[in-house]
Amino acid sequence: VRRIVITGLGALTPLGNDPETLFDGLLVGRSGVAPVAAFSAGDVRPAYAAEVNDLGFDGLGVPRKKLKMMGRNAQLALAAALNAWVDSRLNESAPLLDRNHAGVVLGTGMLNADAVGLGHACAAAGTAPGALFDMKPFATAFAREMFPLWLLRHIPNLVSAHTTMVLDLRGPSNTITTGWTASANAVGEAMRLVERGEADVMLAGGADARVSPLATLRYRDLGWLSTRGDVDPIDVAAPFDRAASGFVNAEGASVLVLEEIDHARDRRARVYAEVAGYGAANDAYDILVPHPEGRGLARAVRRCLASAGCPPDRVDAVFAPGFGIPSFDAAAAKALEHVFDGAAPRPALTATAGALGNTHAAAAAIDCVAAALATIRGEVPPTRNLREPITELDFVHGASRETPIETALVASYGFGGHAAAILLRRWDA
Amino acid sequence: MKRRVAITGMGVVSPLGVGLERYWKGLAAGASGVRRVTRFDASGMPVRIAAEVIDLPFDPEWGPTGLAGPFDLRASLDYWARFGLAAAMMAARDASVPSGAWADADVYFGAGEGQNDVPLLARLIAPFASAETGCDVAAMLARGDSRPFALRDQLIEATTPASLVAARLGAGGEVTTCLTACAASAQAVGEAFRRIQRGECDLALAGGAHAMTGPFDLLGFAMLSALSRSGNDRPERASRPFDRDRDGFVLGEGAAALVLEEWASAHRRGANIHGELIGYGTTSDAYRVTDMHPDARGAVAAITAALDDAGCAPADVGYVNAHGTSTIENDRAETLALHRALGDAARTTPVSSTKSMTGHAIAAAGALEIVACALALREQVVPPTINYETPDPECDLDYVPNRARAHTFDVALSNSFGFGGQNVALLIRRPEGGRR
Repeated sequence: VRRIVITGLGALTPLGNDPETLFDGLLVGRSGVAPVAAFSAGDVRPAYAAEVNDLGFDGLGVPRKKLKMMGRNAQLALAAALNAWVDSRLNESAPLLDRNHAGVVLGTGMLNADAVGLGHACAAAGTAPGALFDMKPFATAFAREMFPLWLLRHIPNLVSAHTTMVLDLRGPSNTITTGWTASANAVGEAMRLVERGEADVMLAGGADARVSPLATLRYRDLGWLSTRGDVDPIDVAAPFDRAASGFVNAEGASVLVLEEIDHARDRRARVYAEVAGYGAANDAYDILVPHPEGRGLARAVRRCLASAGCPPDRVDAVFAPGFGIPSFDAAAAKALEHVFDGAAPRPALTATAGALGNTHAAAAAIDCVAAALATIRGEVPPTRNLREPITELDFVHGASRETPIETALVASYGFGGHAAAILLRRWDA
Repeated sequence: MKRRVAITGMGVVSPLGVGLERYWKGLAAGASGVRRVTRFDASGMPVRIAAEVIDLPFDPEWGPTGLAGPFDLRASLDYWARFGLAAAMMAARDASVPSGAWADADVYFGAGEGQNDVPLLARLIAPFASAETGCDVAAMLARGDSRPFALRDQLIEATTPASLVAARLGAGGEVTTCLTACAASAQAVGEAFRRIQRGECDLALAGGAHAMTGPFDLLGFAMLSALSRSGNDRPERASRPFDRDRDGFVLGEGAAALVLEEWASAHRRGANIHGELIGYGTTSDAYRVTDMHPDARGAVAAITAALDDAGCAPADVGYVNAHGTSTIENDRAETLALHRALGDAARTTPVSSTKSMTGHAIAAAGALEIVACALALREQVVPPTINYETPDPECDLDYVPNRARAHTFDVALSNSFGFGGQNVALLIRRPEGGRR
């Protein structure tokens, strides 16, 4: 059996654009939420979100022309991938790397249509408010007004493909679009590619950029987004809390370098943690709402622990999937209660969405970065804004908790019935 | 240890017809599914043709009702989700796997997003549009009529077809959607095959669905200069892979699903085995977004990897279902790839592009084409490349021009290449005891 370790980390998050800043921010309970910067939100509620500041492409050597072709999710992914690549020092051992056995698997999601661009097309076409829509003038105006390569920004697999091109990685690559679990699935798929011997090195993770006007309307109207205006925006996102009122919209990216253990040893790579297990499952219930008992998540976590040969009572920390949407949080809590019922000692749980908001397809990969660093630091970050937990599970809140972490589980759960879990094991060199 | 993988169920929704028999009848007859766009007024567009699915019948089993959640999805499900569900349910019925077996099964779909509802978006945005700022976003957020938008927008997430299929089949294993552009459903079939081959699961439903036939899709690809324009007035002649006068692809749509099962257990339960998947290769060009590498290095590597996986020699390949998009670039590079990967065998192996008939169903194309390969193996007939009139000196293979051909063969290769340099090759073998 080929074992897999993490040898590089990259993260662009609302708490900062490198893994250490992210983790330190989580430990002290900082929030990444601020007034929306991506567009003029006026007095709509919510007018706040958790965004990434400055993608930091200066010095990364990517031509501006190339960036212009990319959607924001692809830009976020590429920046995180390049940071992880540099961190792994694989570029310094380039002669050892077989580029046909190195690839990229990222999770991402939909980039909504550009409301401003469509507005220009509507204005140029004379599309009248309220009247029956006339496609002909609209189409003519659209073709004239829009950036000719706009479609390339919306093709999801380019989120991964740009990274293969910039780093010249010619092995397997894939882009996973399973919504909120996408980057967990991506890490799992990449792990398997290495496990089976189809690759020695994989860049895996995810990116999502949904802080846009149309996505805001979508999530608000679905009732998933919090519209609270009575508290400070930094106090709104409250995963697993009785007063949770919905998620705070967010964006981010995270990429891990996964490497076969001997490959990493041969080049004396720095190892963050071992990827010890993976499991995924589906509720097989509904395409929007979770199964009330979170049965897909329970199955995914059990599959993950079984694949790692780790019983529930040997899990030290859990990065739990809760964005502050009451129905999803309740189902996730139920699933974790089922799995860890009777486990002694019980794991310490945390949910990073209280600080980061819902980073959608990037969420699980960002949690993987935090979990890897948690195993090294021996400290579980608190769940920001969690005061009254909806569950008896042992959530860390208020302040971080120092405890030896031999194993950290990243659990992921979302719409579409998707569930996945990844187990990281501390690396004692 | 590699386990063998059987295809025990197939379902198709295509512009040539719904169901395996209609699909095959169209392919064997050299019919074209390309027509003038019927679903919206395309007269203001540079491209006004597409291969639309026109005859998806209503079947309550394919409907979205019966799910558990509070949302009424009936009016909001876009074409591709309905195609994907229909293809999956047909495949599941065809396989007649014992009920209960699905509980641990995987679903692996290649799918893009659904279509934006352009009139709906325009109604939302137009009241706040201006030439100066484009859209007064703050005012739209505060006062826009967004009511029908949210559910519709959520349901065009790429994962909708696979999630719907999982809920309908009760498939509680890994349910994954991937999007590797035009290679997506070939990759999905390949990854599901790999899981069974390596013992990671025993039963999977794999395939894909896509319908990039909406207004934004026609406009977007036309703006990239990827689509045939000369065919506007002769729709059925527009898709002409490997012909010297080809000038771009034609957008199509549809879905295909395959039930994949570990061979021994499929055999034991007496399943009707359509074919055996024997090889899968996937690589990245790492070159450019829309161009293939000039030496077709990624495509060659993918085909070679699939042959190695199957333990096949190039001469074992009896038919190639080409990616064959009908763009200048793809068809030239793919021809080169076949020369390099198959060597001398390339000259004697029939190669055809069924996209000449179905158009290019993007994420669904690979699954539609592996089903075409399975049917061709069953019938011992290779489907033609239609509209092949004038040879291109750079495309010098046997493209099975215009007429299907009786052919004795055991193994077919299906190529799928996508934007971003994604290459997938799949190999499928006729089951033993199939008719000759």
